[in-house]
Amino acid sequence: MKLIHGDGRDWSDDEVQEALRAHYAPPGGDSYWASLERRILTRVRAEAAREWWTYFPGWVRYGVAAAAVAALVVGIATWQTSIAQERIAYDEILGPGSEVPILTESVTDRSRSQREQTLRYLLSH
Amino acid sequence: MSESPERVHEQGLVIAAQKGDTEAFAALVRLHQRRAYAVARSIVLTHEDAEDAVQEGFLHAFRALDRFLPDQAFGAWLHRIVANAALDITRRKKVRDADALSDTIASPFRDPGESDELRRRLESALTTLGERQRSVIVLHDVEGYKHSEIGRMLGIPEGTARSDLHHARARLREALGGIRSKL
Repeated sequence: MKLIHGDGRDWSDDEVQEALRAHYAPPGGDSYWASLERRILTRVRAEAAREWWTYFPGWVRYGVAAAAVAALVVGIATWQTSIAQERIAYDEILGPGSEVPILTESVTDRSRSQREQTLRYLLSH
Repeated sequence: MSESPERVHEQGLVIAAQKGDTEAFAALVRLHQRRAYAVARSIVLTHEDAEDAVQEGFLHAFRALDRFLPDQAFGAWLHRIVANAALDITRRKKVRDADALSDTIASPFRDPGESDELRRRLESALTTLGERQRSVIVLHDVEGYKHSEIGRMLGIPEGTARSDLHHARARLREALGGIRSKL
């Protein structure tokens, strides 16, 4: 491997450099730079005014909108399902005759057992 | 170490631009567009492509502005972005039209006022350089960048930039071979 020290210049490189500078000389007039600045800023201002969804290409935009609608529908369906499941769970705990107060039933049971006890007493005597 | 008034002014512009002040960004464009053009021109083959690269570069910089830390050098950051935009254009062009090299090299933006023979030989010599070698010699000899800066800008090691410069010089030296003295 050849090692290169310094910048490797020799006397003839001055003319190469001069020729390159002439060849690559930038446009000179102020009007040119003012015009380039205007073109750059037109693009930058357009970029600044862009809405976020415009960053997606057309078909992606429709896809995102469809996905948003689908997510909304799924959300509503899930919410309704959870309400229905809650109702069913309550029904399972309380039973179908839950309109009748539990205390009343126990009172009925108690009075029935008292009646049975009375009958059993009468029959045994 | 205190910073130069220009640097402080530039930092102020960057911070204002980051807050959405497009006039501050316009001032940054005015400050840096000539240098940005020079960087782009060293990489692409035509003036038109250099203009495109500069516009793309500033646009990318505007989009990425909130990620830039204002205590860093805005120019160096911007020039890397412009260099990347120019390299992208070069890659796209290469894919699109592999034969355009000699034609585009032969149509510089401005007549440098040199003799036809010198210009013809320089243009011909430039076509024989690799894309990276051409960029390195222009960035170094025309724009005055250091090897390390060129390396960072083009994404190559400093040693590679040094080596590319050496080979590009040798090629151009040979091609132009004392033509000045004859003219």
